[in-house]
Amino acid sequence: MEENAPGSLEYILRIGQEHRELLGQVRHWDNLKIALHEGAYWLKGLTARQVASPGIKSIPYKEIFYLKDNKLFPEGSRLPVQRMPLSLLWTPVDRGLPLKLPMPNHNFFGLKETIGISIVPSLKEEQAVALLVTAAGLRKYIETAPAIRLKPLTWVIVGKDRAMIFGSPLLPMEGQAFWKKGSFLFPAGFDLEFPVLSMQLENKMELQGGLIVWEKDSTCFRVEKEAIKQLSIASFRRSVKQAGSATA
Amino acid sequence: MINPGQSFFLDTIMQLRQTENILLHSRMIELSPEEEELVTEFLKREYETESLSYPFVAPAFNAPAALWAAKLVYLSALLILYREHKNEELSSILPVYAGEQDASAILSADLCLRFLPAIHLFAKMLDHEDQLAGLLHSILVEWPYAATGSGIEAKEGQELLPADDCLRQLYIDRIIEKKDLRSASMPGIREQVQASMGNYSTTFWKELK
Repeated sequence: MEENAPGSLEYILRIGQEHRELLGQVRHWDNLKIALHEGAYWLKGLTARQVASPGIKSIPYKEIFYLKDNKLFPEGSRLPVQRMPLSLLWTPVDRGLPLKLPMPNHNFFGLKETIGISIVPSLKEEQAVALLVTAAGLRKYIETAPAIRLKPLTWVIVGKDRAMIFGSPLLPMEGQAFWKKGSFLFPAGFDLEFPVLSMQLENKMELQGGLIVWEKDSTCFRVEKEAIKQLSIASFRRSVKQAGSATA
Repeated sequence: MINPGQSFFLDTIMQLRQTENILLHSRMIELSPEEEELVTEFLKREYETESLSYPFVAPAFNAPAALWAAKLVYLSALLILYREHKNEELSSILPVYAGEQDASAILSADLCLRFLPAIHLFAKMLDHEDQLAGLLHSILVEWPYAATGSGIEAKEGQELLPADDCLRQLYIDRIIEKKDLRSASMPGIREQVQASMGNYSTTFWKELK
């Protein structure tokens, strides 16, 4: 690495005191030291690579020297222009250029502002725990289903013609898969736009053990815990008869 | 109406269906036609409830088969407790099923016949050489669906995989439920068992290879 190679040159940057703000963009480079001397800021410890980087190149009003035998040579020159000033007080750059945080405005009362709650595509990979299917599709599968595939599953009827199946392994049929976070079920590949709000939302909705299922259009519906039943052929036949729907 | 207390035979069968225990109230082996009718009626209702959970289309209820199985279970339990008969009489008290063994008969008989392997085991434990145990064994050999998981091998040359969709799936389900490795490894059945579990055979049944 050129930074660590012995005999590599050390670069010095000088900039007028009035341009102090311009150094802000390099204050996170922790190998730099800064000092104030005769109305100018001195920055030492720069490497050749840092000097060539946009962080330094984009600073106007600067002078760059390299240091040899305590003499300062302008970049590309073989003649020194002056000696390095002695007895400079060096401090790490982030302490030499402290941050000033804006004061909080105690008179700000913009409490009426609201944000919309919606779900957006997400790249996080999650395990699917539920499947939203049509009742007609479920009937086709379930009437010929092996008992062992239904045993680990529970289900609930959604609206007039849909059903939601919970458990694992899920049934091999067409449908929308969901993943679970707390009491929320999101469509696979989606998450809240502001995931940090999910706790507050949950508290606000007073779920009492129920679940909230989010759909892709950011609407949601509630599933009561008591409504979720063991999935079996008899349960399906009885419920669908009872609901009087999905007969088509 | 079917109420408990109308008949000892009915009470025992109801108890058996509801709690899976056998409770005998009498030592009489003669059953009146009224009693038989009551039990048939009860079993018919049980079959209707149970067939709701059958896959495909459940076959119709077969009253003679259901009654035959109920009598068989009732009387064999009775004979274990009160044996006042000669060995030669046994086969006339416990006749083999006379009708045709189709899907409807097998499923209707199974309402009670599924408890026969346990009774057979109990009889065998009391007396290994008891003729009753031998008789029950010979019946179970003929009814592989009821005997699933009991370790009793089916009759030589018998077609094990039923043609009826409903019964076939139920048979496969029972093999998986009882983890009957011997039946599951038979050719023909093996593929069906695998197909039922799909990709998850190791999740559901680790021992099956």
